[in-house]
Amino acid sequence: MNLQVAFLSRLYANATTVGLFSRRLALIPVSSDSMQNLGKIYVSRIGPESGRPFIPSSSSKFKNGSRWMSYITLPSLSSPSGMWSPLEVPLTGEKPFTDYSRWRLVVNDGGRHTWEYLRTDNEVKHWPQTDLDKFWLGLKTVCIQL
Amino acid sequence: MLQDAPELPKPKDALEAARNGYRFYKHLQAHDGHWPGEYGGPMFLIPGLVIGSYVTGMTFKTEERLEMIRYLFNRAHPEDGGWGMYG
Repeated sequence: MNLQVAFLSRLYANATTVGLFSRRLALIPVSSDSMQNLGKIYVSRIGPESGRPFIPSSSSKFKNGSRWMSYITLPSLSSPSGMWSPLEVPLTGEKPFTDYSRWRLVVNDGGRHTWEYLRTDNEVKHWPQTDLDKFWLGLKTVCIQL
Repeated sequence: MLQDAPELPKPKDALEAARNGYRFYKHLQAHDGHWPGEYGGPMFLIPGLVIGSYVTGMTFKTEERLEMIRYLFNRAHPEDGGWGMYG
């Protein structure tokens, strides 16, 4: 069965729920006192007979084909609907939407890579951009005269 | 040109060429010694990132959202607007 999770909202989950979720998408227990201000993860079945996400009308289990499924609800950090707010962007992606001179690659001890964006000039001043940063941002730095 | 990169001499043999390569890659080395690389895919990695963030509650910075949108813009097929698995 092909399953698609329609991500309609930005959610917050505590570690316990994440652990449950990672083990099994279906059959997540939902505590009744956390049912306010919730976003929903909808589980839908994609097939020739159904081109649209299936949105369950209740918070309990539902039967999808021969399989029992359920959906979980999690507190949302953002708007009541849980949707991301729209962003205004240029019509084409020709030029960067951000200032590339403000991105820094952070390499943690475990080898984890994260990109940080420096929002203030003071941060930029105290955290110079390295050749490594520039190279992977595609900035003009690496043409060594051989 | 790399700001602090030395002007590398034109190699006369394979060993000198290898040395030039070594000097070049020193500038792309992370502090712990490894060489980070990039890996992308509009239909392959972004969904996993978004799904993971959704499940764990990890939020995206506005700048991340903007560049993700731009990435998807730039990876769209110019004629049919679709995305390839690996871009």
